[in-house]
Amino acid sequence: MDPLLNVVSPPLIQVDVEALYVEHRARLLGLAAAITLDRAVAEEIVQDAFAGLQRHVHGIDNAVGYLQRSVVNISVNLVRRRQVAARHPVVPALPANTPEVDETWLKVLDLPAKQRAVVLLRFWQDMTVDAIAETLGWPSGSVKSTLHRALKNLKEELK
Amino acid sequence: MTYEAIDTEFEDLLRTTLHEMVPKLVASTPVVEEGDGHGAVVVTLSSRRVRTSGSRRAAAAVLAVAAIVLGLIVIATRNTDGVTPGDSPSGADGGVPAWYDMIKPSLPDRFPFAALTFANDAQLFFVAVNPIEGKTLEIQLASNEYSTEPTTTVDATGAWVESDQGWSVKTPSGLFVSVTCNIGVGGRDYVGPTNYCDMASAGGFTKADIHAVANSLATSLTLSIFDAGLRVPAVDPIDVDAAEGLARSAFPGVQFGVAGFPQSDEIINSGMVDANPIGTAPALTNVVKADTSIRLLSGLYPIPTLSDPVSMALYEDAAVIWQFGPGGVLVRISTTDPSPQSDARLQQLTQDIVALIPTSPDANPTDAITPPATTTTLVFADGSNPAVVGVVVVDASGRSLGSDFAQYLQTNGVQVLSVIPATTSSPETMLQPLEADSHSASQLDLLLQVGGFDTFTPTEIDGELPKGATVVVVLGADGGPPAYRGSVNTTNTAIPTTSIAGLQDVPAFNELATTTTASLCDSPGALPTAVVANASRVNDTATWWTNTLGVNVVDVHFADPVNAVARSDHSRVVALSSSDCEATKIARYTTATAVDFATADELQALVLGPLPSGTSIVVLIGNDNLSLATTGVTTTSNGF
Repeated sequence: MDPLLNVVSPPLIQVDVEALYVEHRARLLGLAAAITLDRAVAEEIVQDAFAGLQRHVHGIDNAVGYLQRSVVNISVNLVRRRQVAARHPVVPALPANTPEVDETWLKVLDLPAKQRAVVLLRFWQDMTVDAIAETLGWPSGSVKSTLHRALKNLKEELK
Repeated sequence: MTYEAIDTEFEDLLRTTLHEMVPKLVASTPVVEEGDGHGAVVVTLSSRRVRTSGSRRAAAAVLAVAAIVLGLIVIATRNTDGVTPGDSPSGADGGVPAWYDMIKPSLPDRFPFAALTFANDAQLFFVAVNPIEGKTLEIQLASNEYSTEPTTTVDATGAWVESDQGWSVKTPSGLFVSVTCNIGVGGRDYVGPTNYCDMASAGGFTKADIHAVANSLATSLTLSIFDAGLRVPAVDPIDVDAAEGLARSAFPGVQFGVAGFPQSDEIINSGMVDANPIGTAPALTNVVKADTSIRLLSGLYPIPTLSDPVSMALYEDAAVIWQFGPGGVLVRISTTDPSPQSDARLQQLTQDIVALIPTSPDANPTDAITPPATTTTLVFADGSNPAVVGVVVVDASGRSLGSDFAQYLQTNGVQVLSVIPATTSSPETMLQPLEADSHSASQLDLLLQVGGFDTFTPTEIDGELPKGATVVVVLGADGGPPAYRGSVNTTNTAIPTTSIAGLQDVPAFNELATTTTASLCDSPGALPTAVVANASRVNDTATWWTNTLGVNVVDVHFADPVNAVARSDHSRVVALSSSDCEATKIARYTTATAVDFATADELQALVLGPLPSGTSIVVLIGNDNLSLATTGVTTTSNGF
């Protein structure tokens, strides 16, 4: 770290892990499952994220952001590591209400994990680009570029 | 309809889709996973590594469900029956213990250490340890054992029953002998699945070998062994509760419990916790990671000297990590999660547990036997040759780096069949298994740390792959996988400024490249102009980088370097979206983790002074690129 750069120590904030768990677990599970396409693995990822929060509970000033960031990063990394045909989960067939939704969902599943993660945060969680950037610890421009590519891919696929 | 309206309509459809489908994805229906390679499909509600068939595993599953229902941590109670004060590990008189002389002639040479772990008037349990591959032989002798399993075969020795893990035989005189072999993977059954010991490639301790041990014991021993007064040595080597506590702290959120074994042979398994406990921290609930098992075995004879560093054996989808502690103790951790991150934590945990063992004056007698030096044992499933074979390097680096890379592989025991030029360049290095089980690729990944697999397509090369190819390594423009780049960097300290070699330790590009499609980079158009801006703490980094990038990025015009408005720890590549591809190419020579999009005004705001007309990319060189920028440049103290 450059000693000349301004570094601000995070404040010590007490986090109610139990309340966070009750409030956010299902949503985080959805996020992890939609990235990994594996519900069982998603459960473990969410569990790991909460375990990490528990471990660093006194050094985190944005617990929800920490959890989301953990879930997305662990999920994306896992998908990358797991790119072995033999270990790909079989995504269960999920009937959609309309063919349009069905088609769109299949295209979402085809997105690279990182793009899918950003799409989920933007359009499922309705987060702004800046909020996604803050949550994931990415520059806003990276979120924009990833989102741009994802939407481009989706639109091209759906033409 | 305007473009914006179309966008809005599409985004609404996307929102509708996600709001409808994501909840369905996590609804309480079972997730179907592919089987374990034996053609079976496993339906599981929670655990991702549930195995198929086997009555013992079925029983374990029932117990697990019961544990969840009852809110209990799995595991049996501790069984201390039959543990009485008796011999020291080396025998009451300090010599060879009586039991060792009795069983030693039947033990294979590769299992030189043994312990008596349980003894009463009707049963004796021994464990023999292989210090090379981390396997153990579990030996049971009994005078009152009645098997309900159907007899497999009958011969002069007795009636034989083959099990998943070994053989048992009951002699005509009534002596029951059971011998099984395992690597101790927990969560399924403590003795583990069949194949780890049995597969020929894993050190080759086959069912036939196990049968031979059982036969030798059955023919050399008689029921009189139970009259010999054998007792488990009085040992007090390890605070099991403390070890369990270490395991819990090493894996927060994972519950561990002590399984029912004698005091001299404790098993600590990761287990399951009630899904809805009362008064338990929620972050610790619903944990299902029954895939790590810690064995604390004491009373080994001959007493092994301390093994340092920790030994490890990697199997297909499991790892065994072990260390001998003072006084004849073995700490063995077995896991079905052999990822590098997990291995590192487990190795540390092994050392931490060994550190719990009190060192007595007798802990390391002068006649102690030193186990073979085993730091890492790679056990392959692809045959008798413990090396990765049939590797083809496809050089897609664009810089003819394939030969050097192939040499690196060969010096690490990898058989490289050939180096073939790629038809197109690839931004990143990839591993592409050609065989269905991808085992060789997995082993290679342990060396290279690529971190994932891709699929080989024949269009990557002109012609065909050589016969016998098992894995393709596509050497990308990133200069190789992280492990290779690291090795290159550590051995090359003087690097010409015009060489890319000094830039090979760049961690940035892998993730980025995965999201960049070829079509984005194939668009024709005018060459963009890039500006390299110094955002670091030294004065002239930008000049160095402009020269470097000018040499290595041929399809971008570089303007004179400028200074950034603000200094930064981190390097960034910021670009107009129209220059995404070119910016991506540049990013791989920096530590930037991604290309950030910006407007022209935002680009201008990054630097001091006006940007040249047409600038579409600004490369901000931060402090994190200094080590790369200064590598091999020795003119001044600040690197320039």
